[in-house]
Amino acid sequence: MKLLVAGEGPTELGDRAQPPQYRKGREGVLEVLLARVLEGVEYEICDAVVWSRLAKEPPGRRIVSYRVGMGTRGEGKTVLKLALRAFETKLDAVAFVRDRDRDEERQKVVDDAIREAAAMFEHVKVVGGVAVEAIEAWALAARDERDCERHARPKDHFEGSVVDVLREADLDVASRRSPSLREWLGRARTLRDATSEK
Amino acid sequence: MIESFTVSNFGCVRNASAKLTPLHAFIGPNDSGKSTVLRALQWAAGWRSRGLPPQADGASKIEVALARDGLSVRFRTTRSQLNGTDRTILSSKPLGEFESQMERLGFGAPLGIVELVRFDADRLREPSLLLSRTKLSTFVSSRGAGLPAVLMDIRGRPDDLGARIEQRFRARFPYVKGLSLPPTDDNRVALELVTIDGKTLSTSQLSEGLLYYLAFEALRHVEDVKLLLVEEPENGLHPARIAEVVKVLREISDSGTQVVMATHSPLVINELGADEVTLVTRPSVEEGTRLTPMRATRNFEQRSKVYALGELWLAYADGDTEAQLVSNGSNEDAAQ
Repeated sequence: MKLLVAGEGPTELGDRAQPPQYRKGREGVLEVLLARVLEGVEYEICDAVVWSRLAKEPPGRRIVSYRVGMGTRGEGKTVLKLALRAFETKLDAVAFVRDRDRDEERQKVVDDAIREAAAMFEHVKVVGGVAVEAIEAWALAARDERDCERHARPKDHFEGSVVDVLREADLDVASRRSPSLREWLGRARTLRDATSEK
Repeated sequence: MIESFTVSNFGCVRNASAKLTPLHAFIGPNDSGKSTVLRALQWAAGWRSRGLPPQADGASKIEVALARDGLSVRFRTTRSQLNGTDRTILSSKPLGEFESQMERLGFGAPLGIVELVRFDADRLREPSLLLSRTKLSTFVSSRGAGLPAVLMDIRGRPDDLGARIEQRFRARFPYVKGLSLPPTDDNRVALELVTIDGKTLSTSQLSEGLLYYLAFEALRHVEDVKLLLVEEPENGLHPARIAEVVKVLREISDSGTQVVMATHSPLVINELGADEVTLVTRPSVEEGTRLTPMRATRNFEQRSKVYALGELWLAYADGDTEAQLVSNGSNEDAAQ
């Protein structure tokens, strides 16, 4: 199985957020979580894209962005563009996470877009969702913090490496504390199960 | 309406065909042949009055299919050298039969007036000679010279057309109270604007966008134009005004004048449907210009679900070969 991963920056993507010449193999949250959920499944991360750059970078090109003034609706467009990018580069699945950043509309738009992408590109599986309110909340959940999703800025309540914490975390515990992580893992397990059935 | 055409050996076009819609746009990189395609259409549609195409040597051949209300006619014009002299030959039918068919289609023979415009703000600003009442009101040049006279002519018509144009114009430019068309010392007519606070602005004080908008508003009322060819209607316009200009062009096409344009603006394309856009590329000098319907570009079905039409073009355009749009990777190739 060939995968495209997308996220906001180095926390989600590790060194894959950098141009290839600067990569030293440092993993991001997506790589770590996929490794845990897809254990036993043969897969390869073939492409990575930073969320904010997606509108500017169709496969193989660098051109000026045209995404202007779309606001939250643009988040849904970005999900669809990810699925299209996977389709055009013949990849099997997209995995992404996006911070909700206290924008409840964003969560709905992203969830709708995931369903829309599944209908548009039936050969591309989409594993994704928003982290409420940000990716650090998932690490807080892994530390069994009850209010992890109530912090407006979870980053202010977390010290350490999100990646390292999630690499070692008991994901069942973390899922109980963070519904957004539970939903993301559920979608990832669906991908694993679908792949295993083949 | 011209439904389709084929052009051979005309400028940089070796052999290319396209289907047209009542409102149609050609997009593509610089030097791909968009303007040449418009000139070919201008030449074919005005085959009797416009003379020979700008071609150094060899034979030019243009086939045009016209259709309306179930009636259709095809004709071919060929330019060739005969005894060392350039000749334009209509080779489809006996001339009388052809002319009568064209008449039945409402095109007359030749097609009726064909206008090609590429507005230039400096030309639009020029005072112009008054139009003769026996002449159809039209711009004096493709760059827009003659705008004041056209406006004067429209204002002089018995209906309230001039007032309606001014009303729409004021709605777009709320600081304008009205248009003024004073005579000049050399018996010409100039264009001025009167603002709501009573100031008079000469054309040198008017923005390009305002002048273009006014010219397109006037264009829709230029009489008897069956085919209007427009180069870069977006020139000098604010992005928000581009949609309005395309709306004006669509109204012109709805009223029976086919409008075909060449554009570099994705904002223009965003206002059109997929069938209304043709991509123009020139892969090599030898192959010449290639015309690809937007709907036939690579992965169009999938891409069009994600991108607006203009955004799709911009997202995959490289300004050169447009390989990501026209490369051999078909929908089937991309499917898994």
